[in-house]
Amino acid sequence: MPLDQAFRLSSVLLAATGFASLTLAIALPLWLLVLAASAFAIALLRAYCSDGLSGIIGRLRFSALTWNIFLLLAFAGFWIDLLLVSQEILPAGIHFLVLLLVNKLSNLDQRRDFLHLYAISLITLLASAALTTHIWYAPFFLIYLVIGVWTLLLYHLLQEQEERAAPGVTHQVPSSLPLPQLTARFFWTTNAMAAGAFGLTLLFFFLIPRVGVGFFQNDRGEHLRTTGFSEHVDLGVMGPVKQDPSIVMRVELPDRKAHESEREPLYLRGVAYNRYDGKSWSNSLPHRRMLTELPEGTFTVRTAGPQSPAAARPLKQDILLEPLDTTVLFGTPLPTSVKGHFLSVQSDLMGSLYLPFPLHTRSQYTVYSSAPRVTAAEKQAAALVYPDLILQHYLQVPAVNEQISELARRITSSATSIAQAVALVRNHLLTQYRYSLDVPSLESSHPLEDFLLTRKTGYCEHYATAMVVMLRTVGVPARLVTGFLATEWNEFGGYYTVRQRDAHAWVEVYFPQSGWITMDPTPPSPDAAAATWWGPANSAMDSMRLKWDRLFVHYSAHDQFTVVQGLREGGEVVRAGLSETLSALSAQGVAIAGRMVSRLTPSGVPQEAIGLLLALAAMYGAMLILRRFRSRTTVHRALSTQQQIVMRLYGNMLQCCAQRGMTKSASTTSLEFLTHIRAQWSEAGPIVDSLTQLYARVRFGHEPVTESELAGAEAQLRTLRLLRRSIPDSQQPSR
Amino acid sequence: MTLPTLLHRLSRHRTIRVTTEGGRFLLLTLAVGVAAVNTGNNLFYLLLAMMLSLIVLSGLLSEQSVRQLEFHRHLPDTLFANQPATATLWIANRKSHLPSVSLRLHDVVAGQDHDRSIHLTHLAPGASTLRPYTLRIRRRGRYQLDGIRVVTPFPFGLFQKKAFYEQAASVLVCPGLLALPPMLIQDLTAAGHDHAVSRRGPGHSLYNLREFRPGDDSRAIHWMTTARTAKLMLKETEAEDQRLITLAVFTVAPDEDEETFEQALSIAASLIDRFLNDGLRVRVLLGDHQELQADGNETPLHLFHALALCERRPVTDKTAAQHALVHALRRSQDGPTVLLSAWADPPLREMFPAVDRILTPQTHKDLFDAAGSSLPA
Repeated sequence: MPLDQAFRLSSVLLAATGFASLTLAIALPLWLLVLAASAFAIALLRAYCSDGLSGIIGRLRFSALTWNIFLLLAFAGFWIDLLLVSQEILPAGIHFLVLLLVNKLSNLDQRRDFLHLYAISLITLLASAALTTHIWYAPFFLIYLVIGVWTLLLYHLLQEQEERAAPGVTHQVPSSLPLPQLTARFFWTTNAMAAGAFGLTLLFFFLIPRVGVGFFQNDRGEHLRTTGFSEHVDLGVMGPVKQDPSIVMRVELPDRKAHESEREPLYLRGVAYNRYDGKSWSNSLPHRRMLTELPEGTFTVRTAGPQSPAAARPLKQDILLEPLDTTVLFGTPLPTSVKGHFLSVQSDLMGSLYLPFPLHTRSQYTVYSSAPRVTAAEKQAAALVYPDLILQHYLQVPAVNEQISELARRITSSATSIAQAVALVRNHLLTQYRYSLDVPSLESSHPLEDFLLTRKTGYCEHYATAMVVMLRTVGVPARLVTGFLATEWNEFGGYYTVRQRDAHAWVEVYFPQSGWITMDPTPPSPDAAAATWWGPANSAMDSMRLKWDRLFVHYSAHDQFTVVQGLREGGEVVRAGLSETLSALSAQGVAIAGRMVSRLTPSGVPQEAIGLLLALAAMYGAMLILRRFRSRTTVHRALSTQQQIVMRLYGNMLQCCAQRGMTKSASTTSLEFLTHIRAQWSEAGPIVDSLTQLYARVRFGHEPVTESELAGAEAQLRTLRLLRRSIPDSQQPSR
Repeated sequence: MTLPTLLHRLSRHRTIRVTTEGGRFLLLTLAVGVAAVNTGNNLFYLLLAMMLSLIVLSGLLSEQSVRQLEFHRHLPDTLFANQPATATLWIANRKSHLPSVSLRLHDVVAGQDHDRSIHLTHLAPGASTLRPYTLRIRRRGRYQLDGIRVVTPFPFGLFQKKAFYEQAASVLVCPGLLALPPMLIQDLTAAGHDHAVSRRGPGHSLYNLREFRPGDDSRAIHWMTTARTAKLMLKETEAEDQRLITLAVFTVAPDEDEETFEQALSIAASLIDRFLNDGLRVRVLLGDHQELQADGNETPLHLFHALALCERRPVTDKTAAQHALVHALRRSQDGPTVLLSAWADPPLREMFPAVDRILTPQTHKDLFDAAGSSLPA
C-alpha cells in the first residue's frame, strides 16, 4: 500500500475510533449517527478505493460555500440545542463536535485539515472518557493509541517526502508523486513503537501524581436501588429483587486461599432488626455513634458483648461496593474494624455500620470481622441467664396467632438445652417448608401466619422472621439480619460476585457467653442459577471489569502512596540484607588482606602505603577495562579482532609518519595522504601504499584479512620505522 | 566553569526545537492535563499519559536516530567565493541494531547552522553512505567548519532534535571570479605591447648562441655551429607569448569601502585567471609586502591563496603603503602594470605615476549585481 493511501486510511480510522467510543458513551440522535456514518463511509472509500471510484466520489463533493453554510447552521443548532432541546452543555457540545467531524471528514484536502481531524478525534475520545468508566473504553483507547502512532508516523514521513520532492511547498498533499510503499518491516516496526508507547502510557498513568483540584467537578452518579436496609422493612420486600442480576459488590478474602472460598457461602451483614409488628421489621435501638478513627482511615467497632476465644483471628474482606442508595456498609458477621477513605463511620447498638451519606461512586474498603461460635458450655446449658438489656429488646413478640406459639413449644419440647432448641427450630424450618419466591406477602395482612400455618412456602425473610418469632416465643433472644449471601465465586479474579438477587435475611441468636450467633433457617433455592456454558466467560469478563475498575478507574493517590510505601519497605529489606552481606564480606576481605600485607610487607614499610598502592593499581585496572570497553563499543565494534589489528597498525603508521613531520589532518583522506607521502617521502611510498590499501579494504570494505597479510603489514611497519626521511630539495632551507 | 558555559556546552551537543505541530500537541496535552487535575477523572489521566508517552517516545527515538553516527567530510582544496563547488560527506551509522531515520545534516560554521539540503531517509545499522553537496561560500578568506549538526524530526515531527558532531575542517576561499568583458582584457594586454622585450625562454625562434656549460640540456646543442667553431655551442630560444604583466593591489581603503575592497580583490583574481589562461606571466604586488609570480604553465593557487588572505589596511597606513608599492613598482622588470584600488578618492594617478592602467570597482560597477556581490564567472 502506498504511503499516502495508508496515511489517509489511518487518519479516517483514528477519527472513527474516537467517534465509536463516543457513540457507546452517549446516545446520539439517529440522524446524527447516519450523517456521521455516511461521512466515514465516503472518507474511507475516498482513501481506500481505486482512482475510478475515487473520481466518482470526488465529483459528489459540495462546494466550500455549502460547507461554510453547513458550519454556520451547525453553530446555530448548537445554541438551539443548548438553550431549548437538551439544555445541557455536554450533549449540545458533543452534537456540534460530531457535525464538525462530518465537515472535516468531507474536506480532507490540506495538511491542516488532517490536523483538525486529529484534534477533533482526540476531543471525542476525551468526551467519551468524561461520560463513561466502563471497560469497553479500554479497547477503544488501545486501538486509538495504536492508530495514533501509525497516523503521526505516516504524517511525518509523508511531510518529509513532500519536502524532499518540493522544498518549500509543504501545505498541499500532492497525489501525483510516486510515494514509497509500506513494507512488512515498516509494519512491524510501527507496531513495536505503538507497543512501546502503550508501555510508557501505563508507566506514566501509574506515576502521575493524582491531584484532584475539582473546581468544576460533576459528582453526580446513578445509585443502585436496594431494598431491605431501611429503618422499616416490610416482610416480603426482598422478593422482587431476588431476580435482579445487577452487581452490588465484589468481595475478596485476601487471607484465605482460593480453594477454601470456592464453595463456601459468605454472609455479608447489613442491618439488624429487633422489633417485629406482625407485618414489618424495625429497629428500636436506632441510636448511632461515631467510630473511633485510629490509625487514620481505620474505624474500630467497640464490642459490647463478650468475645469468644475461638474468634481471635479476624477475617479480612476487601469489598468493592457499587454506589447504592443506602448508607449501610456490609461485611461478614461481626465487623470489628473498617478501613477505607471515609470521613466517618457510624455504628448502631446492633453492630450495623453506616456512612454519613450514600456513596456517589464505586468505593473500596476493608472489613475485619470476628465470627463468634457457641462455646461448649453454652451448647450444653439447659438454661441461660440473659442480661436485662437483651431481654428488654430481643424478646419482643407481636400479637401473633397462638398456633405459632404452640408450634414453637412443640418443636422445642424435646430439647435438653437452649442450643438444641435453636437447632430444632432451624431444622424444622429447613425441612418442613418449601422455598418459593412466588409469595404475595406484601398484600397479606398476616404474612407470618400465612407462611407458617397456611401456605408453608416462602423465601428468606419468611424463614428468618419465623425463626426469630418462634425462638422469642420460647424465651430465646434473637434478631433478624438483612444483607447478602454471596455464593458466586469468580475463579478468574478470586473474589465473590454479589448481586441484587443475593439479598438475604437470616437470624442472629444471642448466647450470653458466645454473643450473637448467625443462624440461617432458609433452605437452598431450587431455582438457583444453573451453570451455563457462558458462565466462565461472564466470570472472566467480570474479573477484567473489576481489574479495570481497580487499576484504572479508581486508581488514586492513596494507591500510589501504598505502592511507594511497599517499594520503600521492600527496598529497605533488600538494602539491609545487602549491607549485612557486604559488611560481612568486606570484614572478611579486610582481614585476609591485612594478614597478606603483614606477611608480604618488609618491616619498616607502612601498611597505609601498601594500601594506597593497591588502590592505585585497582584504579588503573578499572581505567584499562573502561578504555577497552569504550574502544569496543564505539567505532570498531562491528569489526573482528584481526580487522582491529589492521586499524591499529594503520594508526601506528600515521604516528610514525607524524614523527617524520608528515601529519595527516582530519580532513585528509587516506588516499590523499598516500599521494602526499609519495611526493614528499618517496622511500616510504610503497610501504604506506601497501598499508593504506589493506586499511581501506578492512575499514571501508569490511573484508577479512589473513594471518600472512597481518604478518606482512607488521613487517612493513617495522621497516617504515627504520626509514629516515630525506627532505626534498624544494623544502631545504636556502643558504 | 561558569554556569552559562556549562549550559552552552550541554546545549551545543543536544538541542530540541518544538515544531508547529509539536506546539499544538503540547497545548492539547496541557489542556488534557488541566482537565485531568481538575476533575480527577482517571480516564483523563490515561489520555494525558498517552500524550506524554508520545512526547517521551519522540525523545527516545529521535535520540536513537542521531546518536552513534560517524562523519567524514571531503572538501575541495580551493574554493572561490560565490562559486559552487562539490563537497562530499561520508556518514556511517555505528549502531549495531537500530537504524537512523529522517536525518537532515547541516554544516556548523561559527556556531551557525548552514543547511546543505542533505536528507537521509534511512540509514541501516552498520551502514554508511556518501552524500555530495554543493558548497557555495559568499566571503573569501579562511572558511572554518566547526562540525556537523544532525537534525531529526523523527518519529512524529513534533520536535526537532539536534545533535552536534565535532568535525573541524577549514578551506581557503579565494575571491570570486568575474566574467570580465573582453574589451577590458584587450585594453589591458594592449598596454603591454609597448613594453614587449625579447628574452630567452621556451620557444622556437633563435635568441642567442653561447658556449655549452655543465648542466645545460644537451638536446639544445647547436651542432652546426659546434662543428664550425670546434666548441660545444648551445642554442637559446626566444620566449614566445610569455610577456609579463604586473598587477598591483593597493590594499588601503576606508572602513566604508570594505565591500569595494572585496570587489577589487575579485577583479584582481579574475584578471590573474584570465591573464594566465592567455599565456601571460603575472606578477602580483599585494600591498607593500607580498610579491608573487606565476606563469601559464603552473597552477596559480598561491596567487589566489594570497588574495584570499589579503587584508585591508586602514587609511592611516596610506603613505607607508603607497611608498612601498611605488618602490615595488619601480623594480618592475618589464611589461605593463595595472593598479587595482578599492579606494577611488585619492589621486591614484599622481600617487602611482608609473602604472599603465588604474582600475577601481567604482569604474566597473557593471561587473557586480545590485547587491554588490560579484557575478559568477
